Amino acid sequence: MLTEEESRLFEEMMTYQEDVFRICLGFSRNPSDAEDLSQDVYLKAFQNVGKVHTPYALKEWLFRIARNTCLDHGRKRRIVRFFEITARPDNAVETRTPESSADKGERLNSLKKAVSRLPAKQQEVFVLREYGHLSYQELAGTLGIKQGTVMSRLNRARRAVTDSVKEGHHG
Amino acid sequence: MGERWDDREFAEIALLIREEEERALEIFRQRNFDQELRARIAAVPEKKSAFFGHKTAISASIAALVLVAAGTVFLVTRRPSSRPQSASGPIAVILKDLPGISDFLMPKETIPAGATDTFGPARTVRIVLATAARQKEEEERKAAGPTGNPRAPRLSLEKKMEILFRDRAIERVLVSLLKKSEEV
Repeated sequence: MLTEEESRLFEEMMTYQEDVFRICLGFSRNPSDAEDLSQDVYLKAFQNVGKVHTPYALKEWLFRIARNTCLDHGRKRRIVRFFEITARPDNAVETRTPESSADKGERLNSLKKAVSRLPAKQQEVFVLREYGHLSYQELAGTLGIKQGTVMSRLNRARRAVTDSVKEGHHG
Repeated sequence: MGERWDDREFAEIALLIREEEERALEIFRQRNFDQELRARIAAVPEKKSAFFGHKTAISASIAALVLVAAGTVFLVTRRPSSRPQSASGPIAVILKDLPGISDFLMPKETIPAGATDTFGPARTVRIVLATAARQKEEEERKAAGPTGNPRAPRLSLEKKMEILFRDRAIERVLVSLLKKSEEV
């Protein structure tokens, strides 16, 4: 199956499973979906580990797979939602937590909406930074853009999310 | 300055995200992600190899069919020529038809006895024609083969096209049958 080197790379990738999960959570906003997505990410990584040419950029490679998998999932989900007549009850994190107040739940819902409303390029930067905890350098490497672009997109995304959550909370 | 303002405004949101994240991670850590993933990975290659085997069989049979068809067409169209083309025959005909020269082409027997065939060009032409005739006879003998039976005539273009179309039709039928068998 895998060569010794490929197995070593895969085991190294497995150490990032919580990071991958957080990125998937940021895109899907649902722990259950995030876990399924993380599995898909690792499955793809396993099948393509032989294509890793630069082992030092393994983390970025893995996060790129995570980002692409989540974006694909989001697209499919949008299509499904479009055809859904009745909306299903929201099973996001806040509904599962006993200590969550109505106010916090409302704010989390606002946050979820705000992130999902972000333009795609801002959304991916926002999620990878705020959920994946990637550095500017890692973000630039993963997305194939300059660090300056990363910073400006992140700034715009943060501003938009803050405004949107404020509006949702007060409005 | 602007960024600092944003950061402060965003601090609350960041806290909200951290809380959401921590709760989700708690659930994630309770699940046996590693084991589930490895089980899934172990199940994948079997499916993949079965699918790959099926696909290989289909492509191999199609490739074989195409090869057979191509081979048949090649054999029909690229059959070695029954005899090499020679320019000596046409040259002889042209020479015979030329006015003036035809007079010199009398057979040797027609030259009156005692008279010598001293006319240089006539003699040369006669030698050329005799050589050409001999060459033609030899070629015809070779073409007839050792048994003396003439070889099969070369196929006309129409005939070749007919064979080609027939081959294509057979190939199409075989491919459609293959597809039907796959569906079944």
